[in-house]
Amino acid sequence: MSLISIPFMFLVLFTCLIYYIVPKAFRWCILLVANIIFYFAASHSLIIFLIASIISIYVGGLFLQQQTDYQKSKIKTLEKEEKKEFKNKIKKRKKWIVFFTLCVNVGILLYLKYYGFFVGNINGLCKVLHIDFLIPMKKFILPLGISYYTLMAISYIVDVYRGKYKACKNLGKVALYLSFFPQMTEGPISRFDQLSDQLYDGNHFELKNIKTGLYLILWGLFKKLVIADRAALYVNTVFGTSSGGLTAFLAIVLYTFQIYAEFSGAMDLVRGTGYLFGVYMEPNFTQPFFSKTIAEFWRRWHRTLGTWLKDYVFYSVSLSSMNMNLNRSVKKHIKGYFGKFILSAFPLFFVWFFNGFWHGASWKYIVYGLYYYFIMMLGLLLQPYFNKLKEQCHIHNESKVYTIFSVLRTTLVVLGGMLIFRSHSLTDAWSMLIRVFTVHDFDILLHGLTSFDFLILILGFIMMFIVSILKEQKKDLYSILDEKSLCIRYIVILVILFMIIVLGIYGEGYNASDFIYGEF
Amino acid sequence: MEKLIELLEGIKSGVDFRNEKKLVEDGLLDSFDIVEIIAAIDDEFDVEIPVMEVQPEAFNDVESLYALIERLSEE
Repeated sequence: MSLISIPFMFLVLFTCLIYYIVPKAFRWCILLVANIIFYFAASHSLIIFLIASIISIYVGGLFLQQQTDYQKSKIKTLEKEEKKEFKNKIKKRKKWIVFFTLCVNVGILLYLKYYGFFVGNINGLCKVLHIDFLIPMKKFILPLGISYYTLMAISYIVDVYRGKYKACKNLGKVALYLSFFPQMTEGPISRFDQLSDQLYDGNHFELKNIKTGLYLILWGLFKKLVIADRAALYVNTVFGTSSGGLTAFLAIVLYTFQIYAEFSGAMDLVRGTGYLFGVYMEPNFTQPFFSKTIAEFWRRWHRTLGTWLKDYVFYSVSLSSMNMNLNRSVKKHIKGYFGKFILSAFPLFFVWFFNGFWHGASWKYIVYGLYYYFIMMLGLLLQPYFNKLKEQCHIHNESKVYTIFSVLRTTLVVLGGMLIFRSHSLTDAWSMLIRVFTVHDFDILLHGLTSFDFLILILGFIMMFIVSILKEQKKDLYSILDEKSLCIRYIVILVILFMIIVLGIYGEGYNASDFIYGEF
Repeated sequence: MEKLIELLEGIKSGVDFRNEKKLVEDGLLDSFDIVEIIAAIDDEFDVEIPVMEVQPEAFNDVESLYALIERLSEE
């Protein structure tokens, strides 16, 4: 069941109706039933893997809580020396619980998503070394949203371990958190403490939430059907061919535009659906193409993945005893800026490696992650020299010209990343990059889009740009629209609706369910 | 407290640690600074700040950070 489908629309509509009819105390049960219907319709028997994850974090959470409560009750009765020993004992037990829970969740993900990658590499290595050893290759169908809900499961169990909140004692409620149906396809990667109260308490019916939700859904549909799917016609025709020059460069630009319109559009649909039930989910995009640096870009692009990596990979590696020892050793031997650089380089490697590997089971995605790592590290290494150069040239960071230069520079780097991301292989990406500079090809109208389509894309780009500027100025677009007269509101809504119906890409062989990020 | 302020100023100069109340929220301290601060606190105060205590609220102002160090050293 896709986010853009009639069954999904009916599921949302009926769930919404029943949700607000039943007493508040039972509203979370309605959401849970909707989750089961949605997931079963989308993944059939593969629901078993989701159930395994739910049970594992539920049981793991309870065991962790039991240990925490036991520690709290017992510790008061102990002497200082005994306390330390006792705390270490409990900590060890809790670590084992986390380890087993993670083994279940990460194990399922590794087996289903990465089996082919590991086996392919092992077999390839054996062949190179002339070792007569072959592991049979298997291909699995991935359960819907496994990459997203596994990260949510990890965050739950680690947060309970860290004492951020108490474990949930209700299995149904844990299931609801991990399977909230609007976010199952593409995230966002929500945290338990962000969602739990909103999901369990039973929200009041508020017209403002319904209106905001519907505006978001409408805007999301526009971005996906009118912009992203139109850009895809060109992108799919050019990528994988021998096109070069402007034709190929435009394909890279349009793919970047496509993926942004599509992924952020999907997030609008998801968040809009959430609003219908009074559930607020974190925005995953905050105008990423206004970023002046790559680090800033990743704080604005797929934010819930970035914060997840920061909280569970960056801090875990940075504060590990190994990194702390490295810290001391570096401080002793390497003074100044270079010392700081080395300390950043170590934990960031893991962050970017996981970022790439999470996106897909191939070397291409690992290189995609490490590409950003390399760019960021290079930027960090050369920062003192750039600062000196800027000082000598009297360039101010806040000046408009420098801001535009920084935004364009960041966008160019992102285009490079998108080229790797979209290409079939690293070799394809490299040869396309070479062709951009070596082949004279300006026939952009021969690749699936007419001049009218380009006009629509430019119009869509302008609309998205204006919306982004308003959002950047912290203006609440939906409130602004709500304050206008009924006539203006209807005109705006009808124009967008008309554009979606008339200008959206539909037709034979086309499937609106094909969200790029839904594949992860 | 003075020792802590000196330590913070040594790590990130140009920040008014005495008066700032939103060091993390306003972006004056990033995750790299926080890791460096934790390592320095470990060296100077012999207090290990575990990852579970790394919350923006604890690093937003010098008083909260000092309170965290005191609590952890008592434990």
